[in-house]
Amino acid sequence: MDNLVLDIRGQICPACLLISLKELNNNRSRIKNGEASLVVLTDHRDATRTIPNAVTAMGYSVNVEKREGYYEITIKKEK
Amino acid sequence: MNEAFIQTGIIILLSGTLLGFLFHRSDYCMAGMFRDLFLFKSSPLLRVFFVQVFVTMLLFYLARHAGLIKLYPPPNLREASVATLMGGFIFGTGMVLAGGCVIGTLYKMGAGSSGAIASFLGLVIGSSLYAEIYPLFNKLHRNTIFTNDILLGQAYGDGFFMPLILLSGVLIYQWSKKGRLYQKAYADGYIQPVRTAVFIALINLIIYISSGTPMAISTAYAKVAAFIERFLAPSHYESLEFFKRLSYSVKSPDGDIISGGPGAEIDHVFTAEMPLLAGVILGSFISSLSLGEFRPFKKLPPLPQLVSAFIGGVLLGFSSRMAGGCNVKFLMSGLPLLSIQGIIFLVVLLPGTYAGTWIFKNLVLKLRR
Repeated sequence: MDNLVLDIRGQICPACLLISLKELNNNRSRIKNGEASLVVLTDHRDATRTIPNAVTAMGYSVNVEKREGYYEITIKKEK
Repeated sequence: MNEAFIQTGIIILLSGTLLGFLFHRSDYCMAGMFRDLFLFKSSPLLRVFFVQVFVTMLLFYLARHAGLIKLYPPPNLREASVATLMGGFIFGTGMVLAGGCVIGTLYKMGAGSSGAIASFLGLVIGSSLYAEIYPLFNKLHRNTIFTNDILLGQAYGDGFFMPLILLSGVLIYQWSKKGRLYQKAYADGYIQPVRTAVFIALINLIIYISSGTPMAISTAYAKVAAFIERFLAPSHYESLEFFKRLSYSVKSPDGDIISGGPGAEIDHVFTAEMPLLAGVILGSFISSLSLGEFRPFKKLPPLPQLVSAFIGGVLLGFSSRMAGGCNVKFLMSGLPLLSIQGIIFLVVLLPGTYAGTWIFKNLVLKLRR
């Protein structure tokens, strides 16, 4: 499975969610088929609320891990 | 500068530090709360802000009846005018472009955000630009005052408060029972925003009781501009009427003169707002550092976003001086007192936020389909 990495660290709100959703939609079929997952890197604390909220409502599964000073949000097809 | 002033300053510095810490932990972004209403047609945090306003209303009401609040209406609120309408609209646009309001910019800057540094600079520059054309807008304000009442209670009596507080209490109880105030977030050390909302209300009460004025912060930016201008261009500074004026000057019941303005003076505005500004930055810095999330200048936002943050900051600085305050004074302090300025500011803030959201989406991010 491919990991599509989207690094949006440093971006101002509401860019984080909008850009993540756009990237998700652009790769929708591959992610929905389980061929790829989208990995969002963000240093925006609120994005750990908004992105998981939005993508779980769209039927994806999501996992959030804290890295060195930022968060890694992995979006995959629903289990 | 007497002892009581220093004591108040220390209380406000500590309050600001606690606020900055909480703002960072909960990412309590007021610009986001209003913006998401237009951007995503849903804003769960706006419910949390509603809790903040009504807890503040309850606390102010009780404190007033217990005789703890000396100045009512507080001297830092004034009459609403066309300047409130214009200022509130521009403020709404500015806070979306800046990616944060007047206090949001501070806690984001304290956590090392480069975008917030750009909007902080914008806020100081916007305040100094306003100083240049102050006489024009002062005339506009003077000539277009809607009513001489500052609070709804002065015009229609105090009967609004109890029914409003009770109704809101019922609504908040319902929300809380259905879990609609709870936010699911994965950030380290996350504090539920609704807790932060209650703390802000408590801190606002402490500030109101100790300083005589409820929480306000944007004149502090004008003061930063004033100190810089007086240092860099003293003769130009002296020529500006804006920096000589007093925002308020009243005698409190215990005989203290409470007065201050945007000028480079150590006055009541300085004591009430500067420690708050410094405290919020400090508190957020402490919070982000303790979580290992303080990474200044590590990653810069793309240039259009940096420009947007700066321009947004300029709009915030300029419009808050035009309106005579920002969202902190009008929404966090004014709404709970049913200030006419506060209510009007909220009404015009919404279309302004809509405009800002459109600009950010279509011109800054270029997300047009």
